[in-house]
Formats: sequence, C-alpha cells, structure tokens
Amino acid sequence: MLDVRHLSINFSTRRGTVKALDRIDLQIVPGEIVGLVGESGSGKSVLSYAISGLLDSSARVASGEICWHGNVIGTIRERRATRAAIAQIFQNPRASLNPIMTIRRQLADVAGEGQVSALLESVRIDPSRGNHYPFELSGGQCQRVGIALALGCEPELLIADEPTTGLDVTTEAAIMTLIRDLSVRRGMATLLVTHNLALAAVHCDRIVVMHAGQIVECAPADRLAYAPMHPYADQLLASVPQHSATAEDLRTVPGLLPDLAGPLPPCRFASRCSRHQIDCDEAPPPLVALAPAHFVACRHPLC
Amino acid sequence: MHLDRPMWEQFISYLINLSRGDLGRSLVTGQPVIKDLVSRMPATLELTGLSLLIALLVSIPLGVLGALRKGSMIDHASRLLSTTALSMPSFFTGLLLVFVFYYLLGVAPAPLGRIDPLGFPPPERSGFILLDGLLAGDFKATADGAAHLALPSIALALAGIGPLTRITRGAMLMVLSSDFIRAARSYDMPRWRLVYVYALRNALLPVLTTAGFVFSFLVSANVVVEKVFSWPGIGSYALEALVASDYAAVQGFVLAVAMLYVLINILIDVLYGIVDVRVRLAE
Amino acid sequence: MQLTATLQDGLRRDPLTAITMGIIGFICVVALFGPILATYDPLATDPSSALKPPSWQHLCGTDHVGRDICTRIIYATRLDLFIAVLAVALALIIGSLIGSVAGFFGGFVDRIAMWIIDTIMAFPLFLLAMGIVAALGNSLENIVYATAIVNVPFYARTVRAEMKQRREMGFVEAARVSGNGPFRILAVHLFPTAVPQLMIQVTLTMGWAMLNAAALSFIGLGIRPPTPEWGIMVAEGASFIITGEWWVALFPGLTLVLVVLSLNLVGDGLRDVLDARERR
Repeated sequence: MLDVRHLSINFSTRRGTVKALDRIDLQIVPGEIVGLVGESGSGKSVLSYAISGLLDSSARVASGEICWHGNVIGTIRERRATRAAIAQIFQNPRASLNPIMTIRRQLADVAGEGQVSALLESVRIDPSRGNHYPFELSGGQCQRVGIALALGCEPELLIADEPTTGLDVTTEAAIMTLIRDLSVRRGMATLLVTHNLALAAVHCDRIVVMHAGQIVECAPADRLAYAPMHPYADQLLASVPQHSATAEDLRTVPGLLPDLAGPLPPCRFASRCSRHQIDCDEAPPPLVALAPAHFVACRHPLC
Repeated sequence: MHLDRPMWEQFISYLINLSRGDLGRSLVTGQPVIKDLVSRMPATLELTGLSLLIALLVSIPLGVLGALRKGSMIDHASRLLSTTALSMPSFFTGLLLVFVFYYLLGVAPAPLGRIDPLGFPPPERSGFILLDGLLAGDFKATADGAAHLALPSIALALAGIGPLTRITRGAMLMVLSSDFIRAARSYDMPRWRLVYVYALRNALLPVLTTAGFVFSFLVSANVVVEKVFSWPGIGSYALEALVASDYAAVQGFVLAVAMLYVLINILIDVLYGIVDVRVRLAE
Repeated sequence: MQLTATLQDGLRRDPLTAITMGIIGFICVVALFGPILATYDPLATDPSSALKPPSWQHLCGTDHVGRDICTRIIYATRLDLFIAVLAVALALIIGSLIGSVAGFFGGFVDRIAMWIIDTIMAFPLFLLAMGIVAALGNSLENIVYATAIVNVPFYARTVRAEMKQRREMGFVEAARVSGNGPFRILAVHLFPTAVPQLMIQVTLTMGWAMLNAAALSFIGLGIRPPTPEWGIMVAEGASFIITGEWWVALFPGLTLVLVVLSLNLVGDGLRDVLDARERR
C-alpha cells in the first residue's frame, strides 16, 4: 500500500543544507500497526510529514520517491495528482484545533454535518459536547477530537505523531487502546511515531528504529523488544526506565546526534557506537534481513 | 474662567461645571463650547469613520494577498505601497489629491468644505450628510456630500493603510504557519475555506486591536486634513482655538477626543469578544 | 564586531536597503554642505520673478515672493534633519534611562515609570505635541522638546522589554556574583543587548519625528516663516495648488516623503537582518 523507496530529503537553511532523511525504505501493508521510533531529531517527524504531504516548500527531495498503491506521490499534499487517503493526528492536540470554532463545526467541515455524532461516538465523546470550543475540553478530549477529525477523512493509513506526549499515563492508555480498536475495526493501517520505545513495543505489530535520518533496524515488535540487533536499538532499549532498579542504574545512549548540516559519515551512529570498526566508515551499511522479517543496517550487529 | 485663582481651585471649579455639562464659552465663536463641539462633531465622525472603513477595505485584502504570495512581486509591491503610505504626511497627500483630481482632472469639487457653498444642505437630522441626504430623499445633496467627502477621506485613509496592511500581513503569516492550519491541511480542507474561514478569522484579532490604535492616529491626522479641506469639524475648531489661546475650547476639544477614544476602545473590546469566543466565555 | 559583520552580510543580500542607505547618505551630505551647493540666498525675495515654474535657472521654480525653491529646500533639509536628530537623540536618552531603570529594577520604580509612559501614550501623540508647542510657545526649541516627549514612550518600552527579558539570564547572575553593582551591570552588561532593537526603533521613529515636526509647522505652530522648513513651504504653497502653481508645494513635500520613505525602508531592512539573526 505505502512504499517509501530510497527517500532522501534535504532542507536548505541559513546554516547550510540539512540532510534530514537518508535513503529511507519503508513499506506498510493494509491493517498493520507500525511503530516509528527514534530520539528527537532522528527524522521521524520529517518522514511522517513527507508521507502526509505536509512538508513546507523549503524541503527538497534529493532522491527516491513515495509510492501509494503503486502511484508516485509528492511531499506537498495540495500538489498531488491523486489524493492519497492518509490522515494524521498531531502532537499538541489543543494547538491542532481551530480555537475559535466549535468542534461540531470543525467536524462538519471535514466529514459533513450528518457524520458528526457518529464520529464523536466512535471516539467515545458524548455528542452533546459538540457545541463546545477546544479551550473547554481537556487534553485527552482534544486528542480524541483530533482522532475523530482524522477518521472523518476515511483514511487507509493513519499517522499518529506522538499522540500521547503530554498526556497522563491513564489517558495515554485509553487513547492508544482507542487507536488500536479503530484500526482493527476499520481495517486501517497505523504508523505510530514516538520516542517511547516501550509504548511502541506494547501497541505495535512491527517497529522501525531511526537514528539521525537513517533507518537502523526494522523488526516485529516482540523480537525487537527482546533481541535487538543494532547497537543503537540495544542502547535505546536499555535506557527504558523500567529496566533500571535504581536511579543510578538509569542509562542513556552516549554521545549526541551528529549535526545534520555538516559532513556526515556513511553510518551516522558511528561516533556513538561501541562496536565501531574501520570498515564502518567505507560505505553506508545496507539494510539486510538477518532473520525472517528482521532487517538491520549494521556491519557488526549484535547476534 | 477664574484664571487668577490657584490651579487646584480652577480644576475643582472645572469639574463642577463639567458635571453640569458646562464646558465654558469659546473666545473665538462666543458660543458655549459644548454647543460648538456638538455641532461640529458629526463632520469629524463622518470623515474619520469613512476613512477607517476605506483603510480597512484596502489593507485587509492587500495584507492577505501579500501573506499568501509571500516573497512574490505582489508581496513586495504591497509592502512598498504600505511603507510609502506610512511615509506620506496627510497634509501633503491631501494637497496632492486636490491637485490631481480637482485641478488636473476636474473630477472632484473644490476643497471648500462638506458641500457646495452655493448648494443647499439637507435638513439636519443626524449631522451626517450622507445619512441625512438619504433620509430626506435628496439624492443630489447626498451625491454632493459624497463627492466632497471623497478626497479628504482618501487622504486620511492613506495614513491608516500603512500600519494596517503590515499588521494584517504579519498576523496572516503567523496564523498560516500555525499547528491548526497544518492539521486542517491534513484533512484536505478546500483552500478557500482554509484561508478565509480558518486562517483569516484568527488573523483578524490583532488587526482589530491595531484598528483601535489607527483610529486614534487618524484623529490626530484629522486636524491637518480638516485644515487642508476647510472641513468644519472639531479638528479645525481646535486649531483655531489653539492659535487664539482659547483655553475653554481647547479643553473641550481634549475632553471630546478622550471620550471618543474611550468609546472606540470599548467598541473594539466588544467586537473582539464577538470574534474571539475565548474572551467571551472564559471567566 | 559581530553586529557589523551581520549588517554587512545582510546588506549584501538586500540591495534595496543598501540603495536607500545610499540615498540617506546623500541627503546627509546635502544637509551638511548645503550652503555651498545653494546658488541663491534662501531669504532673498524678488517679486519680479514670483511664481516662476521650474526652469534651468530655478530648478524647482520660485515661490510667491520670488525666492528660489531649490535653495530653500536645501536649507529646509538642514533644519528638519537637525530637529529630527536632536529630538530623537533626546528621546533616546530619556527613554533608555526610564526603560532600563523600569525594566531592570521592576516593582515600584517600574510602576511609576509605566504610569508616566502610559499617560503620554494615552493621548493621540500628534495632538499632544500640538498642545505642548501651543502651551510653551512657538520656537524651534519647543518643537524639539515636543517631538522628543512624544517619542520617549517608544524607546522606553523597547528598552524595558529587553531588560525584563534578559534580567534573569545567566550572564547577569554571573556579573552580580563577580561583584558588579546594579548600575554597572545595567550599563555595561545589560543595556548593550538592547542596542539592536533600539537601532531599529530609531530608524523607524526618526521618519515619524520628521513628519511630526513638518505637520506642526504646516498648521502654523512652531517655526514661523520666512524660515525655510518643509512644513512651512508646503503650507505656503497650499493656496497655489488650486491655481495650478504646483511646484511651490510639491517639491518640498516630495523631499519630505523621500527622506521619510528612505528612513522607513532602512528601518525595515535593518529589522529583517537583525531579527533574523536573533531568531536563529
């Protein structure tokens, strides 16, 4: 359904050219829930906006393409020759709603007046709240409205960009359950973009790990959670707080993300990697399947 | 006026008189100041109100267009236009307009006041020539009044177009790059609705606040325009009073302007509450 | 050093600003060396050649008493620039003082300062200037004072905002800890950070100050004829517009517009360059 092939995207800024994405390969089939995991600055938001078509004009596709049902589509939504049924929910739910319009009107603008009540019910909001304004709703409710708006577009792919950041844990669980239920019921594929590996491990079928604009590992969720093969994925997993018994045990991934505007080595994790060797600097590591459906981009994986 | 008494005594007696509606007597006209002001206020209001309207009708489309086509020739042209309008003093603009439209082209009437000196004004109901003319069915007088209003109101409007265009463009640019507009794009909202209903309505909020500031600025510029066009409003009244040291009249003028200012700000606040629900409902 | 480098870089990218800066430079030269360039005496009347249209002898024509308009414009440029620069300098000093003290110390001092500023801004500023000149008397000094007073609020607010924003920052704390007294911190460490914003405000309000002064003279307050000044010259030429002698009012008016426009464009250009740097 969705096939991202060797996509590289650059941004021209004052500081220079920021090479935000480097030869991304990603496929999503109908109905599956894929997690896209990485630190802030890993390029996961850029990739999700590229797929949604919401990048602004300073973005340049340096190579590769995005294919939807076999047709090549561009990174600016309004200029796409064929409309791709892709919808998105956003990180800051309240800021993503029009502050001076009732949610009923906003839903009607997207899906038509008749659908409003049905949509509100499907996200478990009482339809009578339709006449309220966003500032009268809680964060969790705003996010539900955001989901309703996205569903109103009848998407085949739903991109959820950090949908629960900023919400408390109980609300987070409720929202994730809602998204999962809706996915299953509507046969909708979901791309969950998050920095929270634990969250992705619980709710996704498959996880894709990104670092500094490159995909480093791609595996079924249970396999990644127990046996990651890329050094970065391994470190990421180890830094999840649940693995630490005390505060002293808390671990982070050492080093900092490389500057994407400057010169970059073929493997962008090289400077932070404990398994780095000379042949890592010769050419970019290819994404190879080291186990069924388990792809790793590393010359010296853990296994 | 008890000018020989100490300051504080003068102030107290002024306040007492004020509570009785007595603003003193003008040295220049010999009339009670309050009578002068009331009779001249409609002329100023009609002129300033119309100018603000024209300024808004020109600036908002220009600002929106500039924001939508940021960086294009249209954008640069409209920015240059608004900066030029900002740089032109109203007295010069007025004279320029008179020269072009009255002397060269002959399409505008002589700048000698609100109506043709040889014509008959419509019966005075509100003091606004346009309204009175329509109410009396006297279309000739209405047209004449409108013709006389044209040049001064354009001259005054130009003073407002400068700041209003810039604010509209700035506000529009900010709103267009906001999160909820990006979200609306993702719902495939038709562009027309996105720009005008979603973006513009949010962008109008700072424009409204600026309109209040612009109105006060226009009241200042009014004095100069009234002089150029011999307009019988409170601006020219104040000018004559100032030059003749007619204290009572000047004080009355200051009070009138302050009241006008307060009223306009109240109006702006009310309008703001209508457009931005958050202000209205959030207690 | 960094500021000038940014400016040079910005100007290279934006030729319009560079051109307008050139225009202003030219005008300053005219103002300074005016009397040498002028061929006539600005005050010499010659009724026989009154109201002559522009010609090779009189590039801008003559006015109603035969004075050469071009010469008068040159002298007027000197006077108006002088008034504007003086008024803005005065307003800058007073406004910066009020603003820095209010923004840095806060509390009671801030409230008093803001009370003064708000009182000035509560009234349409041109009318306030009118009132001040009318009250104090018609003279050059009073025009400068009146224009300065109505400009103070802009600078005071700008400086106050900058001071408030930076008051809690690390480098201020560091300076305090190393033993600097509050006034020294304010003058040496904090105030310089407000300079870019102030520069922008100066270019933007200088034009406004000129328009103010010209408008005051136009309506008869302040400088009196026969002193050549843009506002007065336009006022003198106003009555001749209707009879077709357009040059008496147009040339002085156009000069005024050109100077103010250049100042505004430079201010805009400066703001684009400096704001972009800060927002990076």
